[in-house]
Amino acid sequence: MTVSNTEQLSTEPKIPYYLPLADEVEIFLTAYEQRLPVLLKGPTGCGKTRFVEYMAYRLFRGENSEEVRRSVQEPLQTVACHEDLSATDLVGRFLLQGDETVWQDGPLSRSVKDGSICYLDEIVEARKDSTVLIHSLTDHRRILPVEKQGITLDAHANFLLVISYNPGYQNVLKDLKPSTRQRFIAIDFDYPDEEQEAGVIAHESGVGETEAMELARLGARVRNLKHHGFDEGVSTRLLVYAGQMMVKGVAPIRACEVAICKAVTDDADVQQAIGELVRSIFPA
Amino acid sequence: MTDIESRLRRLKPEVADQFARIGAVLRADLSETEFAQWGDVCWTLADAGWHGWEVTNDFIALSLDLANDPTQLLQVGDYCTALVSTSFEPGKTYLRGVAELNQRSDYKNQRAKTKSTKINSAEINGADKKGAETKASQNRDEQSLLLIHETGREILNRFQQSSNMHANFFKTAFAIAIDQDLDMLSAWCRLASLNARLERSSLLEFLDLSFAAQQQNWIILADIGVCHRDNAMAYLKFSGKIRYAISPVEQPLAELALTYSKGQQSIDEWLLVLGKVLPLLTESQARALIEYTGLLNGVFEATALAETASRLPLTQHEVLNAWLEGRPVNENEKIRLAYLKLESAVSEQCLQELLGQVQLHEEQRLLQLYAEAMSGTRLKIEVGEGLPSSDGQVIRLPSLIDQFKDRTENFRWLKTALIHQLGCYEFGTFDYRRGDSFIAFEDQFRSFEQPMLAETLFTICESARVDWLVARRYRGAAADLLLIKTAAAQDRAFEGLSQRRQLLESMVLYSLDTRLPKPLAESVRVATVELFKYMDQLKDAGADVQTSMAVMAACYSIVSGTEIDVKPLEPVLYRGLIAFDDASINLQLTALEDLEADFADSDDDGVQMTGASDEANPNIDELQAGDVDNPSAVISADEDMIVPDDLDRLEDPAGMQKMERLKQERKEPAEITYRYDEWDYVIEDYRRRWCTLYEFRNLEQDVDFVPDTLSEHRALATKVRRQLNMLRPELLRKVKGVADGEELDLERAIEAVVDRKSGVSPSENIYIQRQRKERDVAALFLLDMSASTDDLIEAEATVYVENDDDYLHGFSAVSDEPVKERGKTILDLEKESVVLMAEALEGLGDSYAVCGFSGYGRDRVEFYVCKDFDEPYNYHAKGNIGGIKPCRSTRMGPAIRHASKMLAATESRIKALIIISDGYPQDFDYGQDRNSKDYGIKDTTRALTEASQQGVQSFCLTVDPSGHDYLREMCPDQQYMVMQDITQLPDELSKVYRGLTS
Repeated sequence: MTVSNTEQLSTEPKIPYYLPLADEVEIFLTAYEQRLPVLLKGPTGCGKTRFVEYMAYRLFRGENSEEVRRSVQEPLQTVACHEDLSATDLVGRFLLQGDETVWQDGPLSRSVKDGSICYLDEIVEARKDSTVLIHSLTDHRRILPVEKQGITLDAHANFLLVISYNPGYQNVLKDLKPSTRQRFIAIDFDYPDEEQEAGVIAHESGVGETEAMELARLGARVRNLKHHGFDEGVSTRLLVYAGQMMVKGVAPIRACEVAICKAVTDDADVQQAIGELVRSIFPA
Repeated sequence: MTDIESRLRRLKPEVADQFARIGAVLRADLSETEFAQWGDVCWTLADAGWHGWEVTNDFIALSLDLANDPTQLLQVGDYCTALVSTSFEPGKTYLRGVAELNQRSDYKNQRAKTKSTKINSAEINGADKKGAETKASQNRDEQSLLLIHETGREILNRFQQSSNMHANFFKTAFAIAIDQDLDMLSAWCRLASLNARLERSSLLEFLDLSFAAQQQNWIILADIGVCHRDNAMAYLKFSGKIRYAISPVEQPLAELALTYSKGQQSIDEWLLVLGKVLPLLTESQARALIEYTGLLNGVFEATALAETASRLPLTQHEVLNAWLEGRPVNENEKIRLAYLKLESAVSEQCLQELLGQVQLHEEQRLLQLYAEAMSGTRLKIEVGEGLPSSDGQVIRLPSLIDQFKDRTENFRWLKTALIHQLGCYEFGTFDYRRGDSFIAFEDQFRSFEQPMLAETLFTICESARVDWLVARRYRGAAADLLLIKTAAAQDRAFEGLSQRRQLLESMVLYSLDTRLPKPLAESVRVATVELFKYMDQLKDAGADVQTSMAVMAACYSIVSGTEIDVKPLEPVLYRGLIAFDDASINLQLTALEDLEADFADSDDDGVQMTGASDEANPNIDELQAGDVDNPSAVISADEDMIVPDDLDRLEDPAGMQKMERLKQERKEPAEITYRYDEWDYVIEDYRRRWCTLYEFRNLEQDVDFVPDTLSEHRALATKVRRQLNMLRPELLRKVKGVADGEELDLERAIEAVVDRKSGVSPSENIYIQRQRKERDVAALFLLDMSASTDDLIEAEATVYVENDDDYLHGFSAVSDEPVKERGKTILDLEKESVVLMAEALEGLGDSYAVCGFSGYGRDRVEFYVCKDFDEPYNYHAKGNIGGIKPCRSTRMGPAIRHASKMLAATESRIKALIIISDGYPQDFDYGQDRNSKDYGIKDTTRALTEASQQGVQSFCLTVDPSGHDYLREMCPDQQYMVMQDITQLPDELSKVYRGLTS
C-alpha cells in the first residue's frame, strides 16, 4: 500500500509551482464550489499531481480560504493506486495491538472525516472493489460505508474526491468503467507547448533560458516518436531532471542521455535516434 | 625480248609500252641472263590469268626501285609468279607491300644521310655510325622480306586455293614490317604459321584481327599463342576493340595474359569483363587494377576483381592493399571469389570499414526514427539514386556515403543531408502559395523571363535560408553543418566561369558561409556586394519562404542582366534536389485525405461528400492555414488545417474536383521492396542484400473461392473449428482471493485472522491460483505458389471421409461423401486448408496472416500478403486468398525471412510460421549450379534458424513424397511433416496449428 502525505503544508508553506495552460484552474475552482468530483486525464509527468497540489494549496492555504479549511492538518491525501489496492486499504482496517484489535483509518476515510481533498492517482490500476467504493461518495449521497465497522461516514462539507487516469498506456482491459467515469467532470491535460514547457523547465530546474528552450524542443521531438517502443513521450518531469543535471555541471548531451535517452525506452535504435536528436540540438 | 614485248602488246598495249620503257633502263643495270629472267617473269605474271597484266605492271614499276639489287629483284619476281597461280590479287598486294617496304628504307636512308650531314660532316665516327645504321636498316628490310616469304610460302602450300587469304596475309605482314621492328614481325609470323597449322577459318580470323590491331606486342602475343592458341586470339580480339583503353596498361596486361596462358587457363571471360570495365576507368585506375590483378592467384580471381573494379577505390592504395590482404587465401575457390566480388559479408564489411563508408541501409531505421521525431510525420526514408531528394512523402538519400574518409564524418554528412531536407518541412518551404495554383512554384518561376534562372536563384536562397534557420535552432546540428558546408565549398569551382555563373557560385559560396576567392572582377565584386545584402535578409530568424521568394526576385534583377549561360549550376551535394511542387502537392493532399477521413469518421450517415451545397467558391489554399509563426513541425500545421470551415468546404463539388485534380497529380508511391541477405554455404558467409523481395498487397481478387470452399466443406469446417476450440488459453495469470490455490495470499490471510479476532466471520478466499486465461498467438501461413503447385491431385486421392472420431489419425480411405472433384490442384488444396483454418481462427480470436510467395531469380522474389495480422478477414482478404495463383519458382529463404520479420513485429508471445509447400526450395539462380539442391536447402535451413532465433516457431508441411530427404536437413523431426495423402492437408494443418500454439 502506498499512501503518502505529500504536502505537509502547515510546516512548509511554499506555494507549489504550477503554470496554467488553459482554464483548468477556474474549472477546478468552480467544481470545488459545487463539490463536483474531478477526473484528471493526461499522460505521465505532464503535471496532474502538481496541479492537484497547487489547487489544494489555493483552496486550503490560499489567502481567501476559509478558516475551517486552513485548520485542516492535511489538505491533500494522495493515494497512488496499484493493482492490489483494496477497499480496505482505502477505508481502513483493524490492526492487532497486543491482544486487542484497533481500528486504523485509511486515507479515504480520514479525508472524508477531515474534509480535505483525496487524490487517487492512476485509479484504473486499483482493484474493482475499491473503484466501486467511491461511487457513493461521488453522487448526491456523499457517504462512505465502512463495512468492517458496520457504520456509514457522511462526507465533510469540504471533502472532494479527485482521481487521475492516463488513457495512453492502460490497455483496454484496464479502462475506466462508464459507471465510474460518469461521476466526474473531466479535465484534459497534455504536455505544454514548447515555450510554456521551457518556462516550466527553467523554473523547476534553474537552467538558463536557451537550455530550457532546447530541452523543451527535444521533448517535443521525442514525443513524436511515442509509437516506437514507448507509449508515452518524454515527460516534462524528465526534462526537468535533465535540466537539474545540467545545472549541476553535467554536460548537456550526457545529461540528456541519462535523463531521457535511457529513461524513456529500452529499444536500442530508438535510444540511438534520440541520442542523435540530442546531438543535433545541443552543441557538443 | 621483243618477243615478250609483242606478246604483251597483244595482251595489253600499255603494259607493253611500260615494259619497253623500263626495260631500256634496266638493261644497263642487269646482266644478260638476269635481264632475260626479268623478261620471263614479266610474261609469266601477265600470262598467269585474269588481270595478270596488272601484276606485271606493278612489277615493272617496282623493278626500277630494286634495280640496284638485281638478285632481290629476281627473287621478288620469282616469288610473285608463285602467287599469281590462282588470282592476281595476292601478287598485287605482295608487290605493293614490297614497294612500300622499299620506299620506307629509301626514306630512312635519306633521312639518315641528311641528318648526319647536318650534325657535323667532320665527325667521321658519327657519319660512320649513321652509315652503319642505314646498312642495318637495309639489312633488316631484307630479312623482313625473307621472313614474309618464308611464312607466306608455308601458307601458300597449306591453303592453295585461297587467294583472298594470301592477299590478306601480305597486306598485314607488310603493314607490320613497315611499322614495327623485325622481332615483332618475326613474332607475328610465328603466330601466323602457328595458325596456319590449324583450320582455314582460324587463320583467316587471325589475319583479320591482326590487321585490325597491328599495334601489338607481338612477341608476348606469340608466346601466349605458343602456350594457348585460343588465348592469343581472344587477346587479339579484345585489344583490337578497346585499343585506346588498354594502351596505358598494355605491357603488364599482356604479361598477365601470358602468365595465365602458361598455366593453361583460358582468359576469355577475364578479357570480356575487362573489355567492359577498362573503358570506364581512368588511366591511373586502370593501372592500379592491373597491378592488383597481378597479386592475385589465377585468372578466376582476376575476373572477379575486374567485375568489382568499378566499385573499388582503385586509387586508394592503402585501403585496397589492406582489403586484398584480408582475402581468404587458403579457403576454397568460391569463398575467394565471393570475397573479391564483394559478395560476401566479410568482404563488404572489411572494405566499408577501411573506407569509412556509411551504407544507408545500416542506418535506415535510425534515420527513419530521427526524421519522424524531427518532423512529427511519417516521412519515409528510402534509398534513392543520386542526390538527396524529397517529395512530401518520401525522403530519398544516397545508398552509400563516401564523401569523407572517416565513418563518423560520413555519418555526419548523411545526417546533415537529412536535416536539410527535414528543415524544408520544418521551416515551411512548401507552404508557399500563389493564388489558386497547385504548382505555385512553377507558376512563380514562369512569371519571370528566365524561369530557369529564377528557379536556380530560389533554390540557392531557400537552401541558404533553411540552413541558417537550422543552425539557429539546432546548435548541435550547426556544428555538423559547418563541417559539411566547408567541405562542400571546397568542391565548388569558380575560376574561368562566365560572369553569370560566377555570380551564382558566389551566392552558393555565401550560403555556405565561405569567403569568395580573390581577386574578383570589379563588376562581379560590385554585384556580389549587392546580392549578399539581399541574402542577409534570409539570416533573419523570422525569414520564411516568402522572404526567399522576395530575395530571389531581388537577386534576379541583378543576375538576369548578365549574359545567359545555359550550363546548369552544379548542385550542392548535401542539399540535393527538392521537388518543390511535388512536395507541396503531396502535403496538401495528405492534409486533405486526413480531413476526409475525419469527415467520414464524424459523419455516421456517410453523407456523400460530392452531393452537397454549391455555395461560395472554396479555396483549398486556405486549408494551409497552418500558423506560419509556429515552428513546431509539420504536424501542427496539419492539425491547424482541420478546422470546421474547411470541412464545409469539402462538401462543395468544386472542392472535390480540386481534390481529384490533386490526386491525379500525386505520384504513385513506390513499390514496397525489401532486401534480404542470403546464406551461401559454399563461401560460408552471407551474401549481403542479395535478394530483392517485392511485397504485394493487392492480388487479383477471386471472391467466390472462399464461399465455395466453405459450402463445399461445411462438415470439415465445423470439425476444424471444433478442434481448434479445444485449444486452451496458454497464458498463466495469477488469480487472487480464491478458496483453493497454490499459495497463500498473505494480505487476505492476515485480514482473515484479524476478522476472526475481532469477532467478524473471516473470508475463506485467501489463496492465490495460477489460471490459464489468455492467448497471445500470432500465426503466419506461408503458401508456396510455385508453378509446380499447379499439378493436379491424383484422382483416387481426392476423396474425403467424414469421421469425427478418427480425426487424430486423419481420414480413412472409405468414402461415403465424395467432397472433392477432379481437377483440383495442389495449390487449390493449400488454399482450401487455409480458408478452413482462417474461419476457425476467426472464432478463436488468434491473430494470423496469410501470405504466399513465388518469384523468379534473386532480383524478384514476390511475396503476396493476402491478409495481414491486423487486417480484418473481410471481403478483400477473402478475395486475395481466392486470388492466389501458381507463379514461378520457390525461393524459400527470403520469403521465410520476410515472414519472420512480419511475425517478429507482432510482438506476440507465441509466433508460429507454417509453411506449406510442394517441393524443395529452388530457383534458377538459387546457387550457382542449377541442379544442385544444396544451396537452396542450406539457405532455407539458415532462414529457419534465424526465424527461431527471433522466437518464431516454424513448421514445414510438404506434399512432396521425397520431402523427408531434405526436410530432415532443414528442420528438426518434430517441425516438419510429409503428407502422403495431400487431401489430409486441412486436417493436418489444424493439428499442426494446435501443436504449435499450445
